[in-house]
Amino acid sequence: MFDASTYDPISPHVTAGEIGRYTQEPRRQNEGAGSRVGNRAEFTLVAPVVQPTGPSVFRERAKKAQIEAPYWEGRLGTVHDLRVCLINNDRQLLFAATYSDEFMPYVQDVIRFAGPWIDYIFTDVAEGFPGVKSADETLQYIAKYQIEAGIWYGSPDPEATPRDITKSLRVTNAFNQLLDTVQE
Amino acid sequence: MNDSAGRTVPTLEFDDIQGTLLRRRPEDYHGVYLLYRIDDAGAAKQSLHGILPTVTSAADWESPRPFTLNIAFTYSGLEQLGVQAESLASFSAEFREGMAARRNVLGDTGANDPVNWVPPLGSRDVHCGVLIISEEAEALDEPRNEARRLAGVSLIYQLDVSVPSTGREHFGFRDGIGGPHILGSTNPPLPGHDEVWPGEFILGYQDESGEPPDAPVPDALACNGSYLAFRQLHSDVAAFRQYLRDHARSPEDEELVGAKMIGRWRSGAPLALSPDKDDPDLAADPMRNNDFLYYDDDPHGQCVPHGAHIRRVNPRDSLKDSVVAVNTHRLIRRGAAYGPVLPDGVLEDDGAERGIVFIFLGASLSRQFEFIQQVWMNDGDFVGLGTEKDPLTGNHDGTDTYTIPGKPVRRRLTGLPRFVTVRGGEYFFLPSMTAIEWLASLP
Repeated sequence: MFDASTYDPISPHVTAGEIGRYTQEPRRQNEGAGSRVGNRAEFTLVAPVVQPTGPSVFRERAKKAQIEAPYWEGRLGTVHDLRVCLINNDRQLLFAATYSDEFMPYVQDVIRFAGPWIDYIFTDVAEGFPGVKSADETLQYIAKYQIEAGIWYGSPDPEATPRDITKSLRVTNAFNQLLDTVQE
Repeated sequence: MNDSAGRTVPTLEFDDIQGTLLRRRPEDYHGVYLLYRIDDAGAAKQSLHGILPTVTSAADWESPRPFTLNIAFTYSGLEQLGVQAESLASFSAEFREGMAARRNVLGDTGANDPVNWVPPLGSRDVHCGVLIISEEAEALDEPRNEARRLAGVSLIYQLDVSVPSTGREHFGFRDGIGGPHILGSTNPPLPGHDEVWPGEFILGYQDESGEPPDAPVPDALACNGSYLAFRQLHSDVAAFRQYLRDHARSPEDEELVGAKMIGRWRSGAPLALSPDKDDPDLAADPMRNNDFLYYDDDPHGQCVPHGAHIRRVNPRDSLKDSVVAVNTHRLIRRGAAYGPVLPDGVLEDDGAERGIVFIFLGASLSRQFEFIQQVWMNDGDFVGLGTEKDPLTGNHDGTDTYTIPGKPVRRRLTGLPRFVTVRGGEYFFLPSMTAIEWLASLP
């Protein structure tokens, strides 16, 4: 637990109290690896890339995968953001997402639904990728290459899920329209 | 027998499947749940051999009999019996961990925390569970006495159940109406009972994916059995009545608020078909009382709030626009009430131990029981309700809310107290008749 009275900030220009107003408490996922604050969790995978052909396959596939990403990831309803990058001189693939709610209960639904898109990105790109056929094999692959964030900041409002945010924006809009109407 | 998708419905081996997996208990029931610790594996296995002829299969269930008896084992129990390491390791991870260890997944915190469970529930001493049900209280005497005298085991927990004099569960609601229809079952399919492939509930048969579910090894254990979650839930009936009294505008409104929390009126009539008032004739008609869906007729929850109990545990078609395949997250539910009725009109708790014992059956504890608990009961995000929990069974701390959609504005209940407390539970494996024989014959 953060204790402002005993905490020594990194910079002398910031008070412990100021840090205390912002600081959050990360914890581990209920099941599996990954850090979480409130309802904002990180999923970070760093996997080896097939050499020498993987990188060019990825760059070609990235075009369609990008166009369709909002569909496959958006329809899951729990993903805030996702990035897929070639790193380390094209030797590795970084697949990193921020999500709300628990990952494990949904894993079969996610695999069944987003399987085509995930397969498209990983097959012939990621070495040893088993294909998205069974939840067990996919989880084994993930366990092999998932890493846990050493430092995690997910949001100033870590309790807000994607659906909460969509709803809040809609309500704010509607309320503003209402006030505008009353104003007239 | 073919279904519309062209897949052939398998023939279920009724004489190898334990009856409780396919058949409901009688409406007027008396029963007892017995939990045992295995002290002497050899003697216990002999007792198991002795019991085997009494275990009721799904084939036997229909024929008149004084009582039905079914038996299940925890991971610790299988270990005690001498099941080998390779076989033990083939059971699902959550089964091996036991229900108490799954407290974070299940949301068993605060008053529901396993540290508060009634001993021996949650301990590794619970090895074997036996359920005996009868329509006559007296018919239980003999098997109950036999059950005490079994060699090699100690009876460490006993819970007597019986239908309350009201014919309802303790909160006053008619229970046990809904449920999936297992394809291949000889029970007549009733309207509104969604058809689900047998492998979702019974190991060894095709599930919704077309493949049989993961099952333990060896072959003797792999078919006609199921995983089972046993959960004893205390009902604070007085608190529920008091809450309705405090938050409703009239006795009629109390009934409406209660119905909005559950999704059915106390009679069992579904709000979906009778949104404004109770309809006992509808409730009593099995051809109508479960025949409804949500997506077209009630997308905004104006009849049945999205967070209502029955809409949470079975969203039916209301999640059609999401990626969730609801058919893969169904389970078989068996419930029985225990404890004395709190007399009508009493709003003060009498301190009596009363509630409901649930058994949830399915091929995957994590994908069915745990999923429903974690995603649909203890959280509201799946229907855009943030952290709202099930109004009746939720692990409330006095700050929770419950949203009832309405026009022109929604109604919101606040300060929900705890109504249901987990007294304890465990994960079991419900073996087939073949598997029981195999276990009893282990060296």
